[in-house]
Amino acid sequence: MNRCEVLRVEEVTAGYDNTAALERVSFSVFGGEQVAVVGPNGAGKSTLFKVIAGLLPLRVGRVRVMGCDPHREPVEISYVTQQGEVDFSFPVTAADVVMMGRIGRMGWLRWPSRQDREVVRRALAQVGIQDLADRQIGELSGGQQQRVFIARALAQEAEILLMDEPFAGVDATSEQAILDLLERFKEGGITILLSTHDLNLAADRFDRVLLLNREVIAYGPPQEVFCPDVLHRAYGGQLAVWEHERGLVMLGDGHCSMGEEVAR
Amino acid sequence: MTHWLLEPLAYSFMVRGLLASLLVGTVCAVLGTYVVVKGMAFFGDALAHAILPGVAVAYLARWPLFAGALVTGVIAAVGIGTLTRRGHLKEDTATGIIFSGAFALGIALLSTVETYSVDLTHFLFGNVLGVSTADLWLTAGLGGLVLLLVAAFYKEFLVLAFDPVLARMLRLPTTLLHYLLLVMLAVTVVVSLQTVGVALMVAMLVTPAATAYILTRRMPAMMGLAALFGSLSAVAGLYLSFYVNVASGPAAVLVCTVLFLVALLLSPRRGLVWEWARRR
Repeated sequence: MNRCEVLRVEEVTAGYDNTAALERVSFSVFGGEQVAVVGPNGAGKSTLFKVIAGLLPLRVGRVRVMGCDPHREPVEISYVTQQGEVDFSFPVTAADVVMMGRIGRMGWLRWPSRQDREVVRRALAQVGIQDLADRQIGELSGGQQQRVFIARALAQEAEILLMDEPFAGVDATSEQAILDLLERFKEGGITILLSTHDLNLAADRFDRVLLLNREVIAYGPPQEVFCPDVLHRAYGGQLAVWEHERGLVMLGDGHCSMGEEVAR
Repeated sequence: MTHWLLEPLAYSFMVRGLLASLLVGTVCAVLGTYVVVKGMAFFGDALAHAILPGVAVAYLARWPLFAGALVTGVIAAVGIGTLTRRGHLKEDTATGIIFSGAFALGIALLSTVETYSVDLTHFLFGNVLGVSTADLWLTAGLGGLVLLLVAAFYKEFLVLAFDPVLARMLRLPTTLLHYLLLVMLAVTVVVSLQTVGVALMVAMLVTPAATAYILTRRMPAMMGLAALFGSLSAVAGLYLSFYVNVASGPAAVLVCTVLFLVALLLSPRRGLVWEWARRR
């Protein structure tokens, strides 16, 4: 695993229209690290990813991806957006969608080479849906569709992978497949930023956790971030936390819709 | 049967009409696949109507109609495209205002001539039998250019239509590609003017592509089938006009529509008949 810094976010303020979805956010990520981005709804998780990907302009601050400015130069990032941002009735197969990830490597006026096809085949196999390569994208389940988009990110062969809520609306098989994939990325040295509502997952499977609520509430290893008063600062009444002999038990957001203040 | 097919081709205007029908049917249908998958049918219809003032001016000033149509077509495509992207109005409202205004201007200009009704009918519904050799060359040249661009930028247009966020991540020039597609659409509309006319243009863009969409699951197959249905319908329209004496443009659109309805009912994957049978 390379220990050099691959992503640096400095004092970033950004948002839509007149509201700031992110304020003075700073943190950095080292190569090969897996970072879970958590926080309540509207905390700016998607905004943060769009800023890092270079899709949303900054108002203040700067972002460096392996030393480059993603708003000026093409960078080694692939981005798996939240589900449902594309038209699933579109006449493309799973393999077609994954092949789209190769366009950057192919260049203008080129057709897919044998090598591109091989990369696509391997990416589909890595997420465990090689048998579904020729299915139209709308014929797949939500979890399978999510895996197609992850396979596309793999086919891009980028160093940094941003995944926005990849577990939302995904069946258990697909969730396990994505988790297994995260394990394998550790060996491959690919850096991951993944947003999720599942705090227990973030605590169990990730190197570091970025707790966000428009600003950075806490950033560090899970055991440092997940303590009741830090969580309370981010979630307020939206989260229930119990101290258990094996650690913390957390119920967030959707699960705790009554918003009782159980956190101590 | 062969006799029946070949007899009309003894007339050179029928041969020119046949070639124009094949070309226009193909180009409209291939570009129409993007119109269908991107939900731009109303835009296509608006664009077709919006070129009328350019055609009218060219006609009154005795300039080549092609040139007038092409200039207005490109202006309308870029104009509507920009307005819908940056305007304060909803997209379809802005499009509706521009196109009906332009269309009215075109009709007003044409109404100043004595032969008003005959000319207007030709522009509205086309006159494939009046295609000259020069028209045919222009159609072939510009139509060929559009098809070439569709092939050359196939993967870029595909990703832009399916997933604009990825297109931006890949740092493709998305705005430029968007306008290129609109201009290609304008050129297609212009080359089809003589054959199908303004009023029914949208059918040649949308119907064969929609028929192909029902029957396929991949873009290249959809384009191929759409081209087949489009050119088949255009040629069928031509023969119907020869034998049954109906206007060729509407006849072609009717054939398109029948093909669409058949596909809608009987398609192996999404056919209504099978769906109904499964439910029983």
